[in-house]
Amino acid sequence: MTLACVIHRYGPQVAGGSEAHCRAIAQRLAERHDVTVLTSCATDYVTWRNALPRGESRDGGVKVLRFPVDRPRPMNRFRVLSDLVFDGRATVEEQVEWFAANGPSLPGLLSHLQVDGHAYDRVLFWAFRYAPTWFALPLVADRAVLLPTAEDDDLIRTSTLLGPYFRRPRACLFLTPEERDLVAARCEGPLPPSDIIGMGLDPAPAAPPRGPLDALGLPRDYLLYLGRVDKNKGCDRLFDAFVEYDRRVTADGAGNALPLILAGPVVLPVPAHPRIRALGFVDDRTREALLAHARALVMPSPYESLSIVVLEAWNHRRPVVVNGRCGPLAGQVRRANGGLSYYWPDEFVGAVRYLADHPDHADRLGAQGFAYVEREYRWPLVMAKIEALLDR
Amino acid sequence: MARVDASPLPEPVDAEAIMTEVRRQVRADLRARLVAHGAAEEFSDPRVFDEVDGLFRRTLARDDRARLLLPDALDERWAPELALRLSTHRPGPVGSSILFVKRRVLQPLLRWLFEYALENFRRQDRVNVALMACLQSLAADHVKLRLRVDALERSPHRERETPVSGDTPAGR
Repeated sequence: MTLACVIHRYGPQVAGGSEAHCRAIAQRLAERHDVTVLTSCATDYVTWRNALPRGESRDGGVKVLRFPVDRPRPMNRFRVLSDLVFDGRATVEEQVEWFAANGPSLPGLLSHLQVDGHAYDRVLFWAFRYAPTWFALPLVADRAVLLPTAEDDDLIRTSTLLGPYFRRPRACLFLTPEERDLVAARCEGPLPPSDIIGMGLDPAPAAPPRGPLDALGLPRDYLLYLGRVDKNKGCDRLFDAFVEYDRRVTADGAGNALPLILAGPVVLPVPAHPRIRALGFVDDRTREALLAHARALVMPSPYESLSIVVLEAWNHRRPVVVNGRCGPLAGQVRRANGGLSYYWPDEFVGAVRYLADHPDHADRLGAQGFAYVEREYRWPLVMAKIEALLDR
Repeated sequence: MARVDASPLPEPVDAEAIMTEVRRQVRADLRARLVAHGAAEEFSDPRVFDEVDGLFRRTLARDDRARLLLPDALDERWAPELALRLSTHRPGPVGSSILFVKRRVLQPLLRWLFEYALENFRRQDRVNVALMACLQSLAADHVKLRLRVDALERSPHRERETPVSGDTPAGR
């Protein structure tokens, strides 16, 4: 088959869940198909400033066609439109303008699909909220496969444009059953043919050495947050809950007070606390070691369609502590029986204390998570589901 | 908080059972704290505390304003308007110029203040919705109880229990 993958940013230097998902799948599809990624020259998802050369390049077996962004994101207008859209008071025109302002604006990509879209047997689109997917999918709807990466956020609750939009693609691929249910609830009429694929993982390297952690002077036992340190990821509430956890363990004078280690770009002020440490961006070796040696991974985000980092923790046989208010996260943990879900700060404190005080149970929960990854998230299984849907 | 005991768990480890025990312990600690701070009258009975706590948490866990009755009964728009739609009453080029200045100069300049206020309005909005949901739940329970009491008072069994005049204690 001749396939195109449409994504707002692409490349090894690009961090982001949808982008990583797209790249991993495009490279595996390229083992059997002729795959072209259609994307932007941007690496910054806030400004969409052009940073990479336009035109054709290669990423392993994948052909990459980059189109220049013709205007940066209009930040002030975008904020005003976001207020209107998320408040449910935007007109249809303002909602369309929101998708355009969210960007990246890629007229070249739209023209390419309008003129040459028929040359692709299937066009896979990631992340409905970004302009390339929103505006280009209708141009090739008869061959479009949408991976919405939808989250239960204000946009999906308030936008009146989504009902008809979700009916348009030829097929959909979802990351979790919760995401499928969310989109099905917003879709006008029945969903297009679909499957739930999640994300494929390769087996983790056996027991990564602690060397990189010792070099950073990290303690033997810690609670890990991995990802962008951002309010949108629930980190502000994580800090509050962690400070309360630490206060109570210290006040009781009993039990093992775990420190919180944050690894990832920091866009939210981190409280000055003796047991919270932000490492910033870390290399792959350190990342693997952090995951392998953590007591548990914490994922406080209220908005996720799938948490890849939760799967990675399980891949290292570590348990997770997740925000139970996020349906996909709670669902993942429930199905895996691989961690604890909290709703309230008190429950976070109790869950972390339990894992700190019961290392054997923490290890067993991690092992159950690993078994779940083995059952559901290995690449051969994920790719077989995708291939079956592409053939339909 | 007292630590949760590691009671023997069946194979494999049941995460939900662990969280159930964690939640039970969290609630017990919370009740003890409230009682120590003077809420003994309301919460001396753990069952009362569990019911009240459960009601609040169930209600707060669902941020679904579409199921609320009270907003329909309010005359004016009850939710804070979280989006600022700029306009001018002046027509023609003067109006357009004023709008341009508002949008391109004043709005970006005052954005920090707007966002500060917005965050507080959002917080208040969440509290409003939570209170309305709790109130609705209590009102529904109240009505159900009143209907049951009415039905009991009307039942023949209840009438038989009413003292007849000869049974009325002397002096009344």
